[in-house]
Amino acid sequence: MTYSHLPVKGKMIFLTIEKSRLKEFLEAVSDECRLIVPEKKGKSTYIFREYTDFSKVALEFVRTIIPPKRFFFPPSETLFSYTKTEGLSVSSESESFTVIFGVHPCDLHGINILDKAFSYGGRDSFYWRKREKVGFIGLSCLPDKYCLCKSMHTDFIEDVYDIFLYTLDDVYMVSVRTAFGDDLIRLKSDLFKSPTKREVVEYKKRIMERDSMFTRIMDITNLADLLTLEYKSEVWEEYSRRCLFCGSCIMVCPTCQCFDVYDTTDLTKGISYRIRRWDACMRKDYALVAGGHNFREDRAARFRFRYLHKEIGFAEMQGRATCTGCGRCSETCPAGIDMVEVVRRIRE
Amino acid sequence: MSLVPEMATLVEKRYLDPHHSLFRFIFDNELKREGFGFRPGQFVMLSIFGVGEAPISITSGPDEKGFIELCVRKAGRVTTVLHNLEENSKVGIRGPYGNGYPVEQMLGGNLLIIAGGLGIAPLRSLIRYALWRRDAFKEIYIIYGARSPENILFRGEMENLVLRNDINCLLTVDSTYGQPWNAHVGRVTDLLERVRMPLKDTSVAVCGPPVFYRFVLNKLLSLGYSKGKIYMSLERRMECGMGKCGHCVVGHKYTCVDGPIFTYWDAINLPEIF
Ligand SMILES: Cc1cc2nc3c(=O)[nH]c(=O)nc-3n(C[C@H](O)[C@H](O)[C@H](O)COP(=O)(O)OP(=O)(O)OC[C@H]3O[C@@H](n4cnc5c(N)ncnc54)[C@H](O)[C@@H]3O)c2cc1C
Ligand code: SF4
Ligand code: SF4
Ligand code: FES
Repeated sequence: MTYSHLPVKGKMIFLTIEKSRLKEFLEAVSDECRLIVPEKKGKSTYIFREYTDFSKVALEFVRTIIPPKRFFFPPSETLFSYTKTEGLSVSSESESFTVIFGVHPCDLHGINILDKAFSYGGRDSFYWRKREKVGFIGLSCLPDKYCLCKSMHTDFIEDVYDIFLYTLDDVYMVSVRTAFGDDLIRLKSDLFKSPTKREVVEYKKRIMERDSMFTRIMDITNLADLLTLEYKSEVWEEYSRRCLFCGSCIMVCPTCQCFDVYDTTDLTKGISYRIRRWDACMRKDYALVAGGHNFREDRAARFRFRYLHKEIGFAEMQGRATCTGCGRCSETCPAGIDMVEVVRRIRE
Repeated sequence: MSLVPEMATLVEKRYLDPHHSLFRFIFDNELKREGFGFRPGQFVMLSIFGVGEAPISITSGPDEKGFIELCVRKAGRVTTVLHNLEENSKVGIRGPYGNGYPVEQMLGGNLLIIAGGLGIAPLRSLIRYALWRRDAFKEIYIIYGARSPENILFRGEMENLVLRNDINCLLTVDSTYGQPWNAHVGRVTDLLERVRMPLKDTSVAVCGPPVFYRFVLNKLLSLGYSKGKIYMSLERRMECGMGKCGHCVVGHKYTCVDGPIFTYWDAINLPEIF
């Protein structure tokens, strides 16, 4: 199977597949490469995991607990090992391709943002060696009360994915974006047809319906100005008293990229390992340097930093806010802190 | 770009003062040894395997080939283990990182270099760059202050600079603490009054501890230097050095990629700078 991630700009092929035959398609994909799918975990929680059985695949879910980034930016990874006698040895990476099925538009936007972050100032080889071997089959979704993608302009995606499925009544409308997506389709090309006129009408109707389902709106016009003007607002103080600084909001965020680099040593074998693992900017010693100086010790400053960063911090590099509006942070927060509310308070 | 360092050998260790030493490294890989180029003001990530990494400015000059030198203060885990290493020990080095001083823009003008304490580390590289092509600059002033005479890093080198008549090198200490000393005693800001060169066309490079910056920057502004021509080197926590880990972010800039050298103007416009 050949592989190319380059989306064919301006060119998009639309097909349809009957819902009842999706299983055959996914099995064919899973025969060809590692397939990751969303599955139900708890009462209303979902996770991405290795495909085992089609009946377990979640087709109607809002969000997974952890975004799909962990498949190419794992919570912790060994970069290399070192021994006195053999020197450096960079951990090798398996050759297999991974396809992640069921990724929603906001998370695809999140991946686009991470891709840029891991390219700024030079490509991160550990990120890209995994990322280059991951393809995506996107899936349309309907919003719940936490979804903010419409406000964050991430409710649609025309990039990043290889194939995208829009759920209609009896079929999925299939958008094929890359040559790799085409390779996947051709594994079972007899399952795919051209869309009929009726299906196109249905697609349009569904899009309109979905658009009217968003109950939460966050006004982000002139937010950069407001956050700058309200840099010293007491709102930050107030929320930082409520925040537990547990870091959950960061661990679940599809666009958080921070990490720590540290060494561990296996004394019995005389091997040391260099590890990188996810870190959280809200942690107290995140900006601490030798000699004890901490550039961001104050609670309110740490609380504020995350907001500034999601909304405006990297706008220059990314060309957009780095929040995709996936709603995970608001749903996860044990203190009930909600981004929409914080931004509303700043705007007042 | 990779988080994997190149192997290098510590070939020489020179005691500077009780807390600082100069370390000379050569890359084990010959291509890297010959091909390693950098700008003054850039830094490397130094690895001691099993201990960790630390960002350290390159203190040798970009025209000196075949080795690099780092001037390091014993500050914590990595730097203390480094101080205890024997010559011929193996370390890892990756880089160079950061923007470095905009030397092309400085060429042809006057240069004012102001260092406090360990702030001399990146500036020594800039000094070497400028002296290597002395004719490419007009006037050059170097002002260096330390706590006491024994804390003047690279003392012999600095005193040789004082003797040169094609540059003005002024040294000062906060107090002599009873040690022999025949240069100025007092603040670096006193010495700034002695600088005699047109403000126009003068680039100023400042590096030192936080309080030092505060005094020097205020003085420079009161003397009329342009905020856009004062270059400072920011220190922040760094884990990757390549704009990925987030630790060094100030406002909306990565100190490791967009800096560590910022003009005073750019720096004051970053939220959370001071
Ligand atoms: C751009 C830049 C240039 C520097 N140049 C020099 C130099 O030329 N000479 C010199 O002696 N020191 C320099 N420093 C400071 C030096 O990096 C720290 O003293 C060093 O990281 C301390 O590491 P440690 O493991 O000994 O201390 P520890 O306190 O044990 O460090 C623990 C961790 O914190 C990180 N850390 C601690 N302090 C700093 C810091 N100040 N900056 C960034 N990360 C830090 C380390 O990476 C390490 O992971 C520079 C710092 C920066 C940012
Ligand atoms: S999840 Fe909530 S309580 Fe925890 S750090 Fe984030 S905002 Fe604070
Ligand atoms: S900040 Fe919250 S809503 Fe925005 S992308 Fe991160 S987890 Fe999702
Ligand atoms: S040191 Fe990691 S982003 Fe700058």
